Amino acid sequence: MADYRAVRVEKGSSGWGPGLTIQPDDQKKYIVSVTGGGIHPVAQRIAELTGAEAIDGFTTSIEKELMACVVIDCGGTARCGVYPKLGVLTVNIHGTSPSGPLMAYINEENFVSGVTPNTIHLAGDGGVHSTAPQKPKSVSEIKQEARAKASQTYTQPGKSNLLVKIGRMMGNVVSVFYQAGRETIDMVLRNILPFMAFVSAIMGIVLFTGIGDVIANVLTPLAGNIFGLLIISIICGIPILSPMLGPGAVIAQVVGVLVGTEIGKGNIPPQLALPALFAINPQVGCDFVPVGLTLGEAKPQTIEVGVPAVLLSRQFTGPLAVLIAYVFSFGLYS
Amino acid sequence: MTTLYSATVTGIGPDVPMIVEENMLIFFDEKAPKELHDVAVIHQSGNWTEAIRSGDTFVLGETAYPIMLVGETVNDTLRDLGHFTVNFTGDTSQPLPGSLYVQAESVPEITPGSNFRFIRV
Amino acid sequence: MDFLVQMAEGFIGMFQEGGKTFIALVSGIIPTLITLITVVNALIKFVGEERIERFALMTTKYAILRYTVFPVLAVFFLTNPMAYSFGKFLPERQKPAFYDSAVSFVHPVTGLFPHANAGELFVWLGISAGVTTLGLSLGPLAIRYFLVGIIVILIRGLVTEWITALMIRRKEAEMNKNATLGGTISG
Repeated sequence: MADYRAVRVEKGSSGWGPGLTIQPDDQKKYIVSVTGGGIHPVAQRIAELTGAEAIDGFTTSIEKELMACVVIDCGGTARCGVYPKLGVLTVNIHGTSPSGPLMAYINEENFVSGVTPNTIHLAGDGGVHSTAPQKPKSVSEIKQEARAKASQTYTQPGKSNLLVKIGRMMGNVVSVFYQAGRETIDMVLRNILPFMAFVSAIMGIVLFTGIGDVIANVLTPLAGNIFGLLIISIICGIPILSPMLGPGAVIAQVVGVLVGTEIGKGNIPPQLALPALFAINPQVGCDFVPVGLTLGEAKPQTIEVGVPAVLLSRQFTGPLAVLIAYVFSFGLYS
Repeated sequence: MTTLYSATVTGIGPDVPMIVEENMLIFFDEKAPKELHDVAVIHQSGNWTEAIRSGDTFVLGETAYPIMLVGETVNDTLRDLGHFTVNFTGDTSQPLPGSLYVQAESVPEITPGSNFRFIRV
Repeated sequence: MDFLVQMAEGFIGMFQEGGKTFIALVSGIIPTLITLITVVNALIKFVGEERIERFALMTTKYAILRYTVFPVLAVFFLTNPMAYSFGKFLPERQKPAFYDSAVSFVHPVTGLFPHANAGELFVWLGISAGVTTLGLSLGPLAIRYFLVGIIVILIRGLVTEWITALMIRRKEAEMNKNATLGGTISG
């Protein structure tokens, strides 16, 4: 008895009830977590503070007489009512108020909601709403308790538990991969295929009409040597132009395809692919600076200086990137 | 049509009529602690693949109910515990996070062996 | 009449050419892309956003990591455009630099990890297609693109941080001047 301390569980910001005091004793010594996904942090916290043991109600069955309290994540009807009806102190993670068919059983003495680990504290001295007064234990109760304890100690860490764990893990892995596959297909349908259609249509026109030759005549002398690439990057980095060239990276992508075609034809040496990747793209994200900064929760004043700062920076770092890439292209494909 | 979740009922708790009186049904899968079995329709857990939302259809036995509203914790508890509450009153003025709402004259008869599922047309 | 037939054939031929390009793209790129992106997406889910955030936060103190490891993690795990939300972990004066750094990485990352910016793959795919046509392997180019990308975002981060600091200072000076001016007028 002396080993257990009382804790005060207050309702959370959206919760209900004046709060409960939980005082485990030699009989009621389990904090039962009837929540999805193992022992909830709230149950863990109550167990730590009181010195009682936290149990996952879904893997281990506990008699209601042995529960110091239950921790539930109930959205309003079932568990919210069942445990108060059984006379078990009930701590709900969700901030629900009494409702539903079992509402009559829920009261200020047995229910508190909206609880988080932060609303749980050690009680001053003793509990006001303590669990049932200490009774001398009968022989059968002692036996029951021993049995419960035995089943805890011996079966739980055993083989079946490990199997269940592995099974659950496998199920989890499969569902994660399945979900990842779904998202990927979604991504391909919404982002990748439409752009491929767009590129194919452009390429069809370019290749068939001979516009391609015209573009090649302009592009090859520019993209075919490092000075031309530098000129492209300087132009694309001009602070007035760069936000206009940025949107969706469409310009960079189209030019990329055109340059790629020329590389394929042998008009531009393949090692220049690396500096070219930077030359056609110093404007990346220049159209998106205010939105990007807002995503980073920047203040309006920051956005005000941030936009020109980024644009100005690009004028220098754009060509610089091409030079660095040019240096790194030595030894590539030779 | 996609089936989002499907399971077979294996047991009806003795206190279920009390819940039905309020035009509700509570569902749990078989893993639930036994004290919860009393008030709930127990089923073999199905496979949760995708969030259920309003506009989907809840099919119980032979009857289909268009879902008016899905509480915000329904999908979590359905996935983790096979648990959700169906409110048949159609009154969504004070929605509970753990309930989904449909409109029906009365709560249908339900027996072990019947099937329920969520579908999207 | 012959002229019309020729024109119609020419017209259709243009789309046949486009169709060929489309089939080549779809059969050549999409299958690998789908399996690769699926695995990376799953990996990201296993690691979990919380762990990434905790780890990423440790890298924000040092300028060199702040504009290399930090944006790379952001782009890889949160992808374009959510990556920029990592800016919230930084003080205001570093936010523009971080954005510049992160956004400059959303294309260099695609050579190895297309999931991070699936909507804008053709900066990389367009140019690399030419290299493939020549029968050369893409690996060396993709790796160098990635590495040079990291060097470039570091430089952009440092330069933009410096320019931002200059601008803030200039703006504060201006505001002070205006304040004194306003003071004299009203006084």
